[in-house]
This record gives sequence, C-alpha cells and structure tokens, in this order.
Amino acid sequence: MIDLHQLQLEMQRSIMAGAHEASFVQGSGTQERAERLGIYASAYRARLQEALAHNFPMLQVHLGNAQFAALAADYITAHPSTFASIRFFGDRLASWLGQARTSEPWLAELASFEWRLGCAFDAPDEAALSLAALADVAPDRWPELRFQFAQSAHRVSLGTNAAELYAEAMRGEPISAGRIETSAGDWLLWRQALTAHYRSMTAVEALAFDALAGGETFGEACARLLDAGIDDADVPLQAAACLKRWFADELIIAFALA
Amino acid sequence: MVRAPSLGFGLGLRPKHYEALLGEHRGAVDWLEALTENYLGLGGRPLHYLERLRAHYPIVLHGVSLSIGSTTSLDRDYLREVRTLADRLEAAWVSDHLCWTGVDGINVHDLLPLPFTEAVLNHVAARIRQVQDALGRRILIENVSSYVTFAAADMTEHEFLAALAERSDCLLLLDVNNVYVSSVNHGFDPREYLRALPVERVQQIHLAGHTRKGAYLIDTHDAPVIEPVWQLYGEALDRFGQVATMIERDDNIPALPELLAELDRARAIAKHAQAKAA
Repeated sequence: MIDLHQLQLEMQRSIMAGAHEASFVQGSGTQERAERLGIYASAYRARLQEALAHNFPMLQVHLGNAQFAALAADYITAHPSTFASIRFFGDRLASWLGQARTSEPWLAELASFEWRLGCAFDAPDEAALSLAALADVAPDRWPELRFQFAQSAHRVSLGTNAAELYAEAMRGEPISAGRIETSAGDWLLWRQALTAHYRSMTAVEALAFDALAGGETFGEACARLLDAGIDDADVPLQAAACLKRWFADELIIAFALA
Repeated sequence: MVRAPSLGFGLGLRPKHYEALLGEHRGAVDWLEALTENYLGLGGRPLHYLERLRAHYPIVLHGVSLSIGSTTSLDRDYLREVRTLADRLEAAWVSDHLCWTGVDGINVHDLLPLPFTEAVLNHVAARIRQVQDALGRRILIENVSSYVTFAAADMTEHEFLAALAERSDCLLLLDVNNVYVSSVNHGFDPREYLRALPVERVQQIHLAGHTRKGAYLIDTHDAPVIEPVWQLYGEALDRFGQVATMIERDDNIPALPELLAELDRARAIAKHAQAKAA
C-alpha cells in the first residue's frame, strides 16, 4: 500500500525544485518520467509568476519583463504560496525586496504601494457613514469618540518617490533611473465605491490617522498632535478637518463613544 | 435521477465579459460559472459585478483550492467562506476537481493527479462526504487533465471516478477536453472512459481548448475547442443526455461573440443528440 502523504510530499518537492525524475511516476524511462513531471514544474513557476505580474503590474513595467521574471523566480523560491487563493500570492514581496534589494529601496516601496492598492481594490464591502451621522454627538463628548475605518484604508510611508514612479508607469511613461529621488512622505490608500484611490497625507493627517485607526479616541489623537508640536489652538481644528475629509472620502464605517 | 435538470448552455465568467453580459449580450447564455476563489471573502468591483450578473443569470461556483485528494486536513475556513458565498449567490451548485493542490501548508496552485488505488479512493470519498456536510449540499467533482500516472495505481481513472461518485454520493463535472487530453497523454480510449461514468451523476460538462507541446497535450484553456473534442462531446451527450454545458477559456480570452459562436456549436450538437434519442 502506498504512503499517499509521502508520495505527495515527494511530488510537491520535485515540482517546486524544477522536477527531478521520480520513481513513483510511470514512464518508459528516466527521461520520460522527468519530462512528464517537468510539465507540472514549468506550469508551477509560470502560474506564480503570472500571479505576481497581476498583483504588481507597475513594478513589472518599472523593471522590465526580464528583470521582473528573475525577481519573481527568486521570490517564488523564497516564499512559496500558502494561500487558498492565488490572488494573495506576493503578500511578502515588498518586505522580501526590502531585504534582497537594499540598494534599490524604491523597489520595495513600489511593491508595497501596489500591494496595498490592490488590496484596497477588492477589500470587503463596508457601508461608509456620512459626517451627518455625528450630528447628535454633543461637542463636549467628541474627545471620547472612537472611529472604525474601512478595511481598505491604509497609510503607506515612503522614503522615495515610489508613488510617482507608480503613476508614471501607469501613464506608460518611459522609465528613467534618474527619476528616482529620496522623497519622504505618507500616502493614504483606500477604495471609494468601486475605485481604489491614493493621495499624499500631511504629517498631521498621518499622525491623526495612525492614532484613530489604531483605536485611540479623538481626544487621545489630539494629544498626539500636541505632542508633535502642533499649535495648541490649531489642534482641534486640524483634527476635525482630517475627520471631515475622511468622512467625505468614505473611510469611516462606524464610531462609538468611549 | 440524482442530478438536477440541465441549466442549458453557459460560459465560464471572466472579468473581460462582465459589461457585455450585462449589456449588449444580456441573456445570450443561460447561466454562468464563476471561479470561487476570485470572489471569496472579497468585495469591490469583482463582487459588485458578480451580484449584478446574478440578477440576470443562474450562477454555479467552480473552485480550484479544495484539494480534495490532499493528505493535509481540509481547510475549514475555506469551506465556511465557500458556503457563505454559495448561499449569498444562491448558487445552483458548487464544483471542484479530483486532484490535490499541495501538502503541509503549501499550495502549488495546480490540479495535481492522484494515484488511483482503493486506499486513495476511500480517502477521497471520506473527504468529499465531509465537504458535502460542511457545504450542506452535494458537490460536483471534475476530472482533470494529467501528465503523469503513478506506478502504484491499480485502477483506471474512470473506474476510480465512477466508484468515487457512488461511494461519496457526489455528482460529476465531466470535462470532455480533459478526457481527450489525458487519453492522448496516457494512451487510453476516451469512449471507454465515458461509458464507465454513471449517467445519473453527470450534472455539468466543460468544453475547452488545449495546446500541443511535443508528445503531450497541455490543458491550457487558451484556444478554441478542437474537432475531436466536439465529436467526443456529441458522444458524451448520446450517453448522458442533455447536460448543462459551458465553454471554459482562461487565456487568450476573445471577445464574447467568439465564445458565443462556440456555444452555438454546442447547442447544435446537443440538439442533434436530442433528436437522435427521441
């Protein structure tokens, strides 16, 4: 009686390693057995590479097909898929690039930006609230408010102009290494209706977003802005302005009083 | 009869055709098959279109990650999500493949073949019963194209599939192209394969194209259905009667009218088979 688990482990290893001939496969000889297993090995690499190209189209444009294929091959070896859906293959590409390509930090940032934008595109549907929903909250209770953000909403912190590189690749502009710049900034990525959006954030908005999306109250978020050196009189106004914009962008799906 | 009445003639739903199926070609097909994993736990545009399409077409769900033949435990979270999606869409049925897709936490995202033995048959049948309990419905199991067979096998694929359907009380999705591809790759008679399957359990048929690579046929779903597969389809209908049939295209996806023309050919073959049977 065969040990099915052992057979599946061996076949999986063989496919992932590029198909070494295996004695459990029927065939007229070593070459035929390797040929037959090789069909699965080729399909394995091609399918995962295609998934990466689907999830990181602008990174592929930026790198060119050959460089992207080489990078994909290395990533596939480093991080085989563990997902039921191939849609999520590539979740660690950005962090892997951050370690594997330290001299080109924009690559990891472009990957991170693209991944988050892709996740925003098909994040679970959630009904957003309008600002009017806050009308019944008395002003003196505002410091106690906590907000829940849509799952599609994420802040991405960049140290290069990766977001501009993304936009250039989207516009089909030719890639030039000279365009890469150090350009620290925060970006907000989210989905509104059926469209994924991104825009740059001010330092104040990024700070307030992190605080509120992290579960802090509006009062606690304001205290963080004060700590960051924002003028005392401006803090509530600036925090309220952020909040107003987030409601308009359909980022807020719930709120509660502490 | 175990199986449900035929839904008619459908297509594998691909994003490229969302608008056409809702607009100028609305009603051009009787039903749609959605790829389960493309909508699982997700929202936004894909689910938006799927729900709009559901308002006009019956939908069946077709998965690729059940890994029914794996020795790794069934993924209960996955099954819960499939059930939620199937309930939400009131899916006419749910299908997946006679294969395994990985072990020990890895998914190679391919439909890998099984050694056809009595022990494996018991293993897969038990898992199908668990899946059917978890989903609250019978599932359809599809034959896959394969490029290897196993030294340990002691029965044919068709013997295995026929026994599996009876033992697990599941239904079958007969991929006529896969039968043809595997018959060439392994040198068996595709007609003998069709004759072995239980008529009352074949609830859906897939038709697709493939590619030749050296001595082997590869199930690429990137080309039109070829003549020998159309012929085999006709012979399948002679045996199984009117069965819900669809064209499956995953690459080189043409504009909708080209697939509708292929579907018209399937309709004509089915009509001919029906006339012969009358």
